[in-house]
Amino acid sequence: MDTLRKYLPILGLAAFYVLVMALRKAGVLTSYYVQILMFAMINCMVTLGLNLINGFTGQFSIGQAGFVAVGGYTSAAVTTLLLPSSVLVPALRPLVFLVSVFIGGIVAGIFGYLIGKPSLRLKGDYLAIVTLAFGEIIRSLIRLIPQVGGPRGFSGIPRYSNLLWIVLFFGGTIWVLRNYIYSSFGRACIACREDELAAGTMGVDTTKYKVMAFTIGSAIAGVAGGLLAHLLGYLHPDQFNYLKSIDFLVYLYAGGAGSMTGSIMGATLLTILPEMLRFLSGWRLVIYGIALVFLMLFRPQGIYGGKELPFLIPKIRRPEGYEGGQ
Amino acid sequence: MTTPQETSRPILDVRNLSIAFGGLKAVTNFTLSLPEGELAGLIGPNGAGKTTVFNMLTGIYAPTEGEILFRGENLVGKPTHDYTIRGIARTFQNIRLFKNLSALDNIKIARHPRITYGLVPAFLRSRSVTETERQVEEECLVLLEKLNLLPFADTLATNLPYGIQRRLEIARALATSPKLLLLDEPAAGMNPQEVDTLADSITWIRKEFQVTILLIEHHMQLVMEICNRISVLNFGVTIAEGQSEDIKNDPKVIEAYLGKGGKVA
Repeated sequence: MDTLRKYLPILGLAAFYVLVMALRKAGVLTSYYVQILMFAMINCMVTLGLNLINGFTGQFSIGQAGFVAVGGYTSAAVTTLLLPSSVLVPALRPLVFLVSVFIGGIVAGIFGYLIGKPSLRLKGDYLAIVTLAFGEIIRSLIRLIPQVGGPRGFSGIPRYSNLLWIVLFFGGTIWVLRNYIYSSFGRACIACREDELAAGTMGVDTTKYKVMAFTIGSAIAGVAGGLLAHLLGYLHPDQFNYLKSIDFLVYLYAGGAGSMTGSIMGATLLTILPEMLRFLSGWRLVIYGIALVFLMLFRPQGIYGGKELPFLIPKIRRPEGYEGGQ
Repeated sequence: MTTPQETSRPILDVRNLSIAFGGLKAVTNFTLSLPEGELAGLIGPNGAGKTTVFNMLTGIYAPTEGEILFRGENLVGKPTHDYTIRGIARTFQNIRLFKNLSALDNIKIARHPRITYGLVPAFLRSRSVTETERQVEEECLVLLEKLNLLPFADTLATNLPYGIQRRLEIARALATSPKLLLLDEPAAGMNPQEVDTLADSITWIRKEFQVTILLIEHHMQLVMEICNRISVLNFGVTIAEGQSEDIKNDPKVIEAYLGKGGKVA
């Protein structure tokens, strides 16, 4: 029973993949819908990373798109410039792709660390200002690098991403993040959010855990960027402007900060909703905006704020006599 | 239990601790020596600088001058979490629990410095992590049980009654495995029965957890009843120090509390 419970999420994810592929084969889902699903999952990953920083650790980063850009451009540079598909035997291509995505994540994480280290030492809104500036600096920097297309955009990126890869990374992100949040490290991050002073007197090195959360959140955004680059086949600096960062913040707070389930729901719903409303043409964004206003009016904590689906909480066996209300 | 030996090396030796905020000298030349196992009180009128002393003893404020020797090591200049890791724990005058977390999770956070698994095993939730987490859960539940808090283990801290929140804060401080426990007005807002229970709890905690306790309290009866030794602070200066009987009759103390010509009941 416990084993079944443990593997249920994996089975669920596998079933989801098979279902989507079957519907695609049967012609119920067009490739357009499958593409939207893939975007939704990538947005989920970015939002989950942001949730670790803003939702769980209580900091306020507003430049998440910058880290997606760093990850996307880095991994695209690896697969397009360093090891283009033309010099690789087909069997090696997935491996190169996988490695490039991880490199994108690591580089984004390094950027996160370098930005977080000085700005998280200070209390208050410094991080917000610094991350906002960072997003814009990255965009301007990319424009100055002709090798990755500069202001024209980076084209010719091999389209290695597909549903399987994205489902795997999506599932992996959720699993790793869940493990982190329900570890001693995650509790330290949550303590920083709840009461930084009290966290310090409980022996938590608050600066360290704020920087750690920021680095991990940025790295996840970088990984998502790598997937995105190889899904679109083309990147442009303006894709990653501050409006894109705001999108992720909206996904996060609409879904519920501090809840992984919330991030997944928020990002999925708000990625799909504007597409579903496409038939309204000009009215689309009006309806989208009104939906958000109503959501915040009636559920200010977000769709799933403060709650979590049970499979996202690792179960710990309690000794006999201590089971209590669990 | 044996009485603490007066001859042992002091666990806490505070020398000439001073702090100024701009031109305001909040505490001047505060000196205190606590032998291991002592239960001492720090009293004084409002605004005397008692909490400021606690904030310096936990690294929240950096003293302008002086030394905090804890088990022989000067801790001045170290970050707050280092004080905790070395064995100083505290509670707060205005309760500072992690409000949106359960009582159990509040305690678990306090175990943080004692949990040693690495980041990568945590990401992958290896077997050793699961096992450690199970042990931590058990330790914390046992601690909650000791302090009669077990029924509240899964309740959010913010939903707990006031008295229970105070007790949970003490439990959380104890969960850091301290050698020295600083209690900032533990009896604040309690009724006389609750204060009686608290007095018993504090003496019991000192024995059971083998901690040295320094407490700030306005409730004179409580301090006189349980503390072996009392320091009196007024306007940031220690005006008296000694056994409770001597303190009670010290004219300077009486003056600080009641003005000239006053008398302590």
